[in-house]
Amino acid sequence: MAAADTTRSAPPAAPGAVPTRAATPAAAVPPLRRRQRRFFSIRLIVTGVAVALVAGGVLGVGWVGERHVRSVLSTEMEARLLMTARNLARLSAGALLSDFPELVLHPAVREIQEDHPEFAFVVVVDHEQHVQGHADARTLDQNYTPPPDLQPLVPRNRLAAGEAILGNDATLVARVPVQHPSGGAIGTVFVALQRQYLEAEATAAREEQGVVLMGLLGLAVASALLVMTVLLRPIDRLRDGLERIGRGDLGTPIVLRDRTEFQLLADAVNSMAAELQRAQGQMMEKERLKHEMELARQIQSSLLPAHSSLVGDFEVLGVHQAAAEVGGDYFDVLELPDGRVGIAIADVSGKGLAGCLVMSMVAVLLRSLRRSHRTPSALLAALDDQLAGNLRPGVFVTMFYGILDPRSGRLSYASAGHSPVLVHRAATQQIEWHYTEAIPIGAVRGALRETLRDYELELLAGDTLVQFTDGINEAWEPQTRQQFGFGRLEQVVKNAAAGGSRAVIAAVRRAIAQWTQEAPRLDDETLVVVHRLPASTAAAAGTAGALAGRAVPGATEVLGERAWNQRHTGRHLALPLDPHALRGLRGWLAGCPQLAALPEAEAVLLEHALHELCANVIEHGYRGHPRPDPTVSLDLWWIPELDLWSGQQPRDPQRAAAAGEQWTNLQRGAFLLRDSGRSFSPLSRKESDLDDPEVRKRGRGLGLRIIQEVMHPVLYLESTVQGNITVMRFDPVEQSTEKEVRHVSTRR
Amino acid sequence: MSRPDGSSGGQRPVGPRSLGGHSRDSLPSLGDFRITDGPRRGSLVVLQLTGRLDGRAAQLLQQRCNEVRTQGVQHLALELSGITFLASSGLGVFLAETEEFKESGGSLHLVAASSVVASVVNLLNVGRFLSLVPSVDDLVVKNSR
Repeated sequence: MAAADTTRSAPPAAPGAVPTRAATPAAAVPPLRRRQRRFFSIRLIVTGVAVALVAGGVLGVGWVGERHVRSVLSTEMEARLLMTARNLARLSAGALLSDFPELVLHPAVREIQEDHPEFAFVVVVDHEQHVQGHADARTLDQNYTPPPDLQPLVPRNRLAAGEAILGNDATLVARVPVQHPSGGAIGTVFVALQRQYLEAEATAAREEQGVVLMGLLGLAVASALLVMTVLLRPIDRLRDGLERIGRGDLGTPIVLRDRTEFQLLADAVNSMAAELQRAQGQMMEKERLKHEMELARQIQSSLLPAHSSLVGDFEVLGVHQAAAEVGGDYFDVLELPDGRVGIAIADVSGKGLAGCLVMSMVAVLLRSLRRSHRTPSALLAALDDQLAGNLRPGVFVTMFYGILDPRSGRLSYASAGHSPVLVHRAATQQIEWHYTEAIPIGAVRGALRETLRDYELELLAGDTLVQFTDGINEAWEPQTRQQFGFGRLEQVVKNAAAGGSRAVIAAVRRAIAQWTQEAPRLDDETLVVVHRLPASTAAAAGTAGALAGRAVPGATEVLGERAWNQRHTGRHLALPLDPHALRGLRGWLAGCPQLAALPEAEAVLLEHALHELCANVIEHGYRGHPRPDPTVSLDLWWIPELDLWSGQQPRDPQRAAAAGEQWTNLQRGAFLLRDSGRSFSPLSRKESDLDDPEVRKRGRGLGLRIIQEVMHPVLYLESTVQGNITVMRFDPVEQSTEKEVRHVSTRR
Repeated sequence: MSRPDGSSGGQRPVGPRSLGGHSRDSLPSLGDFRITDGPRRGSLVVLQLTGRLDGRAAQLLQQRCNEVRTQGVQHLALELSGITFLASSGLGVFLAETEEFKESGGSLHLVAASSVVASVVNLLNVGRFLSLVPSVDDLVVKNSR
């Protein structure tokens, strides 16, 4: 069977091979690279099979036919021989009784011979075996001997008594006795046929059959080729179509006008291409949505403040955790010109990029309007005026806005349909809920101003205010579908309030994670906590801020300066700009007398936290700085017993007392790091959401977590006259308590 | 003012693989960090890590994990009993590679985490994202079930 190459570079050379077509010129995509493979043409296979079948059939039929013809011919010839011999015998019966039988028999035999040239001989002998009748007169009266190799054969016709059929290679002989009228044989007749005659007849029949056979074969080949060519014509179109699909062109269907199975195949391929196109479209849509979500996430995260604010003796801290599908939560802490601080938290009803864009409008508007409106209600009303025209019907924003005056401790606020405000009073350990009545921004055009009101509350030392979005109180427990609710939030805040803003946020996040069993978030969770420091801590803010060079120092500057002034009471380490040198931290920490007694696990984590801080400053603050540079170093101090936040008690005094059997509060203190690089705050990095696998794949943002888990609060003063100053409070008792709480909560 | 031992000067051991081609002057030497090939257990490739896994060592580890993945290895176990320090960048590689292996249909396991590794993992509560197993045998038994 002929085979041919299907590649375009080598067109088929063998006869009968399927011709290949040139690539569709429209395709700008390079043609598919195919492996060279040999194939066998279906046309040739089918034609070959057809020829073999026809030839086999004709030959078989011919063989059977010839056998039949031979048999019939032999029977027929034998009958003729017998008939001739019997007639001659009857004639001879009278003649042999006469005196001169040869006078009758010789002409009779000669006549028979002349009429039948196929007879080899015809002989009549008398009872003494003397020839009495023969075509050759010279043999008359001579003794006759039949050919010696004659053998008796099985007769094909019925024989009378004394008759026989004999034969040798050359002749077939009928022997018939000549009967006397009264019975008894008086002679014998021999009539012989040349076998050659029989063969000639058979051969003629065979030749005729051969001609018919060749004709049939020719017809079979021609019709097989023709039928296969017509039937297989759609294959080329199918192949072109499949190659188009392979190149990514899913839009052009394969057009066939065929009534065979190829039409079904083409239909199946077309519907497959359509399905593929649909799936491709869905995938692109999914990618687009994913990209949009990422964009929304970035916009959202760029609008949220990166770190906590210390305002006077108030610590304001917010946290936002985005849902799987980004929501439109927003919070901000804004500086106002007269030392007051604006605190905003909002929830846009839409999700995704749309919700995010509304949120960014809110953020931008709030920042531009904050100075021109004295009261929170006026600002919210102005926001409503600006936004209402731009919001699609059904989209609205619930929003809380408060203005905190750190000198008086009074917070005036207004709320446009936002969650109630939770306040924990340190003196009474009681929770207060403050509800408002206004409708959300954008809900009813122009109606907000009518419903808005300013409220005021005073935060005393140790008090904590919590404002949140509904993602917190509506977080679902996966089995019962029960919401987290206000009651549980109340309890969590109550337990954690003494630890300040950070502790409250950590406790709420832990409780929510436990409640939802860490299922993916359905809504953004946003929380802002305002905590007024206890009186003793706040008193530290009374000194001037020479370090920061600011006329009116904030609490951060005051606390930072206090730490800087105390550095001489501590232990110092100069670190070269070489991350490798950080290996020395362990030995240095072990040499600090107050820290030497730390349990091994605590010491290890403390070393890790300091390593992360220093490595970050070296990497980011001194990027591009020539190295080694012996004139530059980072200065690290451990200042024991320095507790700038001494007003705060350990969260669980009993547990601390129990722990105190192993180590004492002497280990409480602060680390101070000074560097002269570009200002790089370890706090400027936003906390990343590790629940997101994409965030985990980046593997970043863990250093900050380590620092904050081990030491807090962390203060950062950039570009002071002494350089950048980082102050970190270290309290092993507090750390230990917090970790135990987490351990219990994660074990569940 | 005290200068810690070993913070500068002295001879530093060089890691088992040369990582030429980096021009950043901030790159420290590899210190005592080593990656050695452990015994292969069927389709599971084991790498033994020892020493300080800090920023530079994390880069080496990341590179090695990439190599292993591109070689078509599906299941990798990192033996961590010899880790004496684990920086956030090292933990970041564990988290990132866990995701990478998961995405390519395989898995990454942290075997016999030293107390240092366990402390940092517990501190950040990231154990739920990692596969921490006591020994390679446990892993093989678990997988064979």
